[in-house]
Amino acid sequence: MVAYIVRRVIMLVPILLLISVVSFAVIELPPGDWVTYQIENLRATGIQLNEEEAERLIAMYGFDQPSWRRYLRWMEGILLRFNFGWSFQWGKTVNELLAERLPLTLLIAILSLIISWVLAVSLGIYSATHQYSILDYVFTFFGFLGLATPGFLVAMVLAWYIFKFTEFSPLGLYSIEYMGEPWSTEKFVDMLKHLVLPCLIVGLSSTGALMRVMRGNLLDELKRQYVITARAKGVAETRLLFKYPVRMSMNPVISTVGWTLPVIFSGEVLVSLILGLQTVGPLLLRAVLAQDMFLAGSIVMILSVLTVIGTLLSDILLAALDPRIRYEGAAR
Amino acid sequence: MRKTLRFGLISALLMLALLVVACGGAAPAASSEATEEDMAEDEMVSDMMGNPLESPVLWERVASGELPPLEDRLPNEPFVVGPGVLLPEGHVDWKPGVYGGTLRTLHFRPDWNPDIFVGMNESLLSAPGLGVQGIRGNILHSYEVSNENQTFVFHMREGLKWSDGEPVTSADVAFVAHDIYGNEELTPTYPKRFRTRNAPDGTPMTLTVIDDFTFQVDFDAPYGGFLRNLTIETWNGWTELIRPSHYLQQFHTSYVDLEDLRPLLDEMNLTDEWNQVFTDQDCLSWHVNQEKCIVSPVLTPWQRVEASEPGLLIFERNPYYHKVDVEGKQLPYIDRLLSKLVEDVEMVNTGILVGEADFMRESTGLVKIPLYVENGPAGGYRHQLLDMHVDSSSIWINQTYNDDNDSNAASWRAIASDVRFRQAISLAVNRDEMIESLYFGYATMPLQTVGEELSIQNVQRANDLLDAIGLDQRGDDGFRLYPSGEPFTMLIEHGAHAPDLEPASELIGEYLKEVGINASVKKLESSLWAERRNNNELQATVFWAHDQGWDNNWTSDTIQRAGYAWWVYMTQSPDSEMAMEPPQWVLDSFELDKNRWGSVSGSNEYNQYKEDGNAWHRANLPEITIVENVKYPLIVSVDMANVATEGYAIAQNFAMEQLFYVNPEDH
Repeated sequence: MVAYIVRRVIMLVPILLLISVVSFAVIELPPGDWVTYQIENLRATGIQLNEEEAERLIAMYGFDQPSWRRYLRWMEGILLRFNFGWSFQWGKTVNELLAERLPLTLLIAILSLIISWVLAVSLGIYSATHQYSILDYVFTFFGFLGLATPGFLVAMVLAWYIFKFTEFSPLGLYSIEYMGEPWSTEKFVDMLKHLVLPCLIVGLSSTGALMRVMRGNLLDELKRQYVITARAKGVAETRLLFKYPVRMSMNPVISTVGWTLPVIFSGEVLVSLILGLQTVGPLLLRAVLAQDMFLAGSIVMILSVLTVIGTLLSDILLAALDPRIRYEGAAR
Repeated sequence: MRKTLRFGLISALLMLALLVVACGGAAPAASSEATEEDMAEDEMVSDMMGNPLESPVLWERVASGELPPLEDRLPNEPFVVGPGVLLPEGHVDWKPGVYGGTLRTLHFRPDWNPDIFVGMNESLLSAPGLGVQGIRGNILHSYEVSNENQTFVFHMREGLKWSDGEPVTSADVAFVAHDIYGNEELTPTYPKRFRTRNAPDGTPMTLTVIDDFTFQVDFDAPYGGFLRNLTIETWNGWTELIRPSHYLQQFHTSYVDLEDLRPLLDEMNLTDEWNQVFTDQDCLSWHVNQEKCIVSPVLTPWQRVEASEPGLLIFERNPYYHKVDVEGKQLPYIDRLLSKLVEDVEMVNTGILVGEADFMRESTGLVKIPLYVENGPAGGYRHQLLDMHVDSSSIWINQTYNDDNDSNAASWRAIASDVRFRQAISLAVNRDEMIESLYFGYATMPLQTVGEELSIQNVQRANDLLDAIGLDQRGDDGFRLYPSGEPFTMLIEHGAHAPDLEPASELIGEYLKEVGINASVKKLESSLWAERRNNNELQATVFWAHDQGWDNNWTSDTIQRAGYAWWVYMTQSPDSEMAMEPPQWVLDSFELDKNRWGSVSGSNEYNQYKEDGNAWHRANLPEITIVENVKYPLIVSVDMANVATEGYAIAQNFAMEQLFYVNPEDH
């Protein structure tokens, strides 16, 4: 097992390097750079920069240097100082920007992950064990609805109706009267109220799919010989259900658990955008639009790295969970 | 990580606070606060009627000794604001205000709220309503002009202080002139503004410091427009000539060792580019929304402070601000500005509708007036129609268009540079329809820049003109052909900068089809649009131009819209690969501007050059203006006073320090 993990980790190094090159190239490819974006922004506002000011900006932000040089510097900063570089649009380091946004991002992602797993697994089990019952049809109906409706649409519709009927605007993390105010009980309650909607929407958006997978797998497992044998031997129904079939049908869930790492890090981009939450997702979107290359490149790279690491974690978890998938086999 | 810790700490403290409140600890705390306030009140400065001359939020800081008393914070001669000072007489029903309240608004680009930028900016000199008449001091106290507009002596405001309490002196001016403009690493090209007659090839100024509060600027030829160039021209501010040398020297290698800057260089992943570090600390007037201006000393009415939430902009009053009202009360009246970051311009407007904006100019739209009216009473805001300083849509025909992939580019240039072609396009457009459908009637025909004759739609005459310039053949599809027999097509590529660009472009495309021009319309992402324009690859586009009544508009600016390669030839280098030699009428526009810059702004001579510029515009149609005098809805809280009822919306925005809430305790 240890040898397997070590080998997988060594294999990561060239992959990660490749990822860093691709992340940087993706941001550099589109025409223009942050300075042109900035100048266009000012122009759209009605501020016409003189030619010499544009020239000064290009030199002052180092855009007159070749891109390979910028790449080397960026990597040097990351490897030697764990500094992901400078964000031009925010005027501070990428590290600071991420640190500001990670608490909220993690909070929403983890809460919604718990909601979605608890709901999906329990509803999936119920549906499978009570196949073709009325509740099974109800869950299936809502499961498909959840599968087919994008989270951001639900966010938009719900936000509007909540505002219309309660005059409470669920946008942002606080109502505007609490923004920038010191902490108080009212502000805390206000924040909790604002958190309900994003957690529910993000959580429910993946519940539908997960529930269907859980139901399908469990149905397959329940028809297996070992279940029938165990039942014939008189094992109690609940124990029978949870000891083997549920464990087996969790496999697809576990094998994709690694991919939730990047999701947890970036948050649900569109939902955050619509609800005006300052999570990492919108930060990435803005960075790409503004060609804020070190910020965008860093987030893209971190997301890719998390995906790679998450896949590794999934593999290890899977091997640990399922006696049929053992590391000896996988390492061969 | 620090922030994560802080988050945890806040939650823990919160729990503690809840406990204290639950145990009944709140009552004694409240009474002790009251005594402090009583003490603070003893310190307050008031006029003879007992009205405070400074905001109550500053009393406590004065009482604790953190701030000096008001008279030590104000310059010897403050700038006095009253009726007709910031905005011309009649544009606003001016009243002395009361202190207090927070102005809440929204923005959609990181650290960039244009309304707050305009509202906070302070120019070196100023004129009522952003005009050209009556230029007087602002950050600078006064000026004297001699030697036929070649010598300018400026008197600084004695006793004026930076927001950190340090005095503003001529050392700050010398620092800009010598250590910034005189340093090629910081200033690769000497600013045009400080060259004779604002010309890129003009001789740079000579700056002489006379004493601590006086300096002199000399040019080698008359430059009457120089004073105008120190008011709000192109949105410059105090940093054009005055920057906090006591603060910035610590980032300048003339004053410190490169190694002292190592931690900052490391932070930005740099090796020895100290100029990038300096730039990152140098808070210019158009940076006032940015993080770096939290620590950098400024001269603005408010200054940005740290906010607890990412994306939130908070500004608090500058205790050293140099303006007072006629009663001697220090401005601004409003204590705090707060702006929340949302996704895009549509979300800004949603914010307006639900009552989250107490003030909004930049992101409003005429199209949205019905919604503003419907939701105004519930949201506690109203809209005020004012003039817009830009005309949001004019047709740019690139007469120097060149694209290697287009074999007809040379034929296009031949047709487009014939003024009759541009006249025909102007005649093809149904402006009445556009004014009604896009601007709800709040705009006029472009009489100054196009003239009545060419503004009114006349399809017959447009067809005759097009036939006369060699576009008389038509293909099987009914569209016109080049004299060579190739199909004549016109691609209008527009950006997404303003809400009316797309519908305006679509309508124009339809009108052109009616006169047999095969026009197609394409929307581009804004930075791609800019890239194509900068490469001279845009054949035609629809974009804004400054309103002709607006004195910031200079005749030669239109050349970049008329032919980008001519613009490159004139403003960058004739040797550039892209450059094309411009015809005489283009050269005339630069000559007109040089003369206008040489004359004294607002003088008869100046006005004559301005009128000559309009006549030149009508004769040559460098761009085809659609409308003039567009109105613009300004959103303000119903409780807000000193709001303009006439003039440019942006001029009202610029006079933000005189706005106040009638009931500040509600905000």
